[in-house]
Amino acid sequence: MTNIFAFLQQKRMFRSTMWQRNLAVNIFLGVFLVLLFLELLGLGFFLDEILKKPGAKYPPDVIVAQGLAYYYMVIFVMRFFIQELPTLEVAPLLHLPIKKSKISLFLNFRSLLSFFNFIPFFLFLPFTIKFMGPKFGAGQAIIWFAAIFFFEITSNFLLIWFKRNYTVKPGIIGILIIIMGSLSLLDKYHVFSISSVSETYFEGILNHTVWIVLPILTTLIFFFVNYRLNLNHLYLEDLGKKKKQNERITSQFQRLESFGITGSLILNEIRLLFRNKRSKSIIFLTPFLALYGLLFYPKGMNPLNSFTFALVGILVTGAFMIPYGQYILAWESRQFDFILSSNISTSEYFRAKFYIMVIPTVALYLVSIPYVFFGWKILWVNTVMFFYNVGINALLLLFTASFNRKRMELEKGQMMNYQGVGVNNILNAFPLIFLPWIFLIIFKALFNEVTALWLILIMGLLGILFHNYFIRLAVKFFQKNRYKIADGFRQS
Amino acid sequence: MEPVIEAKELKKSYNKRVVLNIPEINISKGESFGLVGNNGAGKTTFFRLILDLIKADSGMVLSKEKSVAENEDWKHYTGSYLDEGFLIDYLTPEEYFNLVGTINGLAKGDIEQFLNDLKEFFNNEIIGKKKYIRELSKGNQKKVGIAAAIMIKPEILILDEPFSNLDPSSQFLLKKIIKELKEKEKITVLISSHDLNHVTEVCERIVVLHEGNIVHDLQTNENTLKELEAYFAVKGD
Repeated sequence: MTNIFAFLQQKRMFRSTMWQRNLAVNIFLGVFLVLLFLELLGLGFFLDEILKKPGAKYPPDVIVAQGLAYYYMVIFVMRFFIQELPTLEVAPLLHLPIKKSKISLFLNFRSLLSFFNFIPFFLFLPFTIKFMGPKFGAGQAIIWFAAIFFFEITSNFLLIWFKRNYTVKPGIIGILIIIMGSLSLLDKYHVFSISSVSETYFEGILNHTVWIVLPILTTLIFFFVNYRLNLNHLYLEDLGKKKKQNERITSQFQRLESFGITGSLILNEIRLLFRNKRSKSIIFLTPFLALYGLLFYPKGMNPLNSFTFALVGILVTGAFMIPYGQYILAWESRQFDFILSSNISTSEYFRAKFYIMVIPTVALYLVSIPYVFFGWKILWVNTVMFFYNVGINALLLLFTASFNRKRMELEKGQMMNYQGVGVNNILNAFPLIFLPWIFLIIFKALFNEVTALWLILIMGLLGILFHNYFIRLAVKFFQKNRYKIADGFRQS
Repeated sequence: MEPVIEAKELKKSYNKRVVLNIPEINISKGESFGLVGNNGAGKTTFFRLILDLIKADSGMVLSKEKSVAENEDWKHYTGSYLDEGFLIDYLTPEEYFNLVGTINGLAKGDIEQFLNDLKEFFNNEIIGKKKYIRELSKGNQKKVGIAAAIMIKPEILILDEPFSNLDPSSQFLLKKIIKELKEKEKITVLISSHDLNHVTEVCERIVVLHEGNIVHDLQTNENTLKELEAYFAVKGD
């Protein structure tokens, strides 16, 4: 029986549609994944040396022990976004004479194949071998690593339990992030130190081998909890996705309908955004990009360095437009025949698309104004980049949309779902982000920084002033390519 | 009768295989036109060419004497439903009807009135169910698409396989609806179907496609069904 599961698993892997993507994308992703693993491995290998920096208060093992609590929290949130439940895979087995307990066990073991469960082997195993082994002896080092591993597996089963009980809602992720944030604040102000709890455990286990029982026990408990959960919910209706109620969010926009066809098209796009898994992940991504500034601004960088500010400014104000706009037509690939044959003039359609990119950009600009806290210059650069995004990038996206001819299935998540992502699209983001940067370099070399920023601002303003003209050009360009685009969108 | 749709020297091939080759065909105003043929005969290809969804290799389709590829006027008076690509599956049926209605300049009241008239056809499974279109069954999805195509009060109605996936009562009702539209509104109807019974019942003119060529062009009479059945019967040896 186990053989059957193994057989199915193997076939699923090798016959996955993933392999049927075009070669270039596969190579790109392959290189990306290999790099990612190499980076993790490299980080793991040099972890001791990185942490041994002069001036470090603690030895590397203590720092790792303190950090592990945070590591698990971060990984858990990432799992929340990325890790899929394997439940649907067993749907075709339900009517076959296979014991439910077997299927339930399979589901549990299947979840172990998630990439996250392997991270400790890359990140902490080299450290264990290189540093912990020589310092504390092989036996202690193995136990130490085993504890890390079993906590990771606990996190795996905990996540699955969590995800099966609660659908992924922005609220829940928000709560998780708030919990993490407050834990680290409490830690910082020495109210309650999660890192010292973590330290106590992971340092303690080196002396008290028996503490290994704790993660093994939690692993077993959550394994069993999931096993029961699976066993009792092996029905088709449980396996599928839970119904989501997004009526509420989108009904607030109902008024758009009174703005004629353009309003209706925008309303439709808003519904698309909120009701499909893939587009929803853009909504999750946007706040992260918008908060990107926090990574750079507080570091007290040379205030004259507007290059970094320019990059950050483009990303912050384009936090929605850049990830969303790249697929501005492809989002509707499944109903493209409807769009083409409906009584919508193409220019009206493109104008709606322009507003769909611009309105959130305006909102993001307003939200980004508090960054002025870190200096007036930041507000100034962000303002320039905002106008550039609206006047140049949004229009540029209307043109590049015609190159994106891959159908997208919106019900699959964004992470690791590269459907519709061609090499074109990856390259697409570069000019959006780096072109203004290059302009800045050139203008600065020719004139000076103040003039350079003004010139970019003027470029943006000109784009806004003549946007109707550029939209018409984009429409013409689209008209020329429309059969090819529609044909690409029909290929599932 | 003046032709509303004309095809001239229309050719389309995929990978050098000719899938449609129509030297000439005229469809008159008010005609009900049935297209039959086996899978791969070119029915959907023909409809897609009429709706300017694919590009002809040569020749053109004229709608009211204007090439559909070169201007968009036909969109004002053509209602169509070919496949799920005409639905927006993350909308509820009501939202979809509203969108299509707004695009075509219908008032809210008109839309409601229309949906109310179709109550029987919808059989209480479509309106007010708070389901997205993607959660409906195939048959109900098809009903939504067909209803939206009719709702815009088109002069030309194009439906691909409208009877498949529908339950018997709905098939019956749909035939009634189409016949009424034809008689009262004098609209031109283009239908393709695998089902010879339905298509001979609804259409005055039936064209048989085989591997992209027109092999029969019949005016429907009491013998048409038999002729068609004889044509499609697999000849045993």
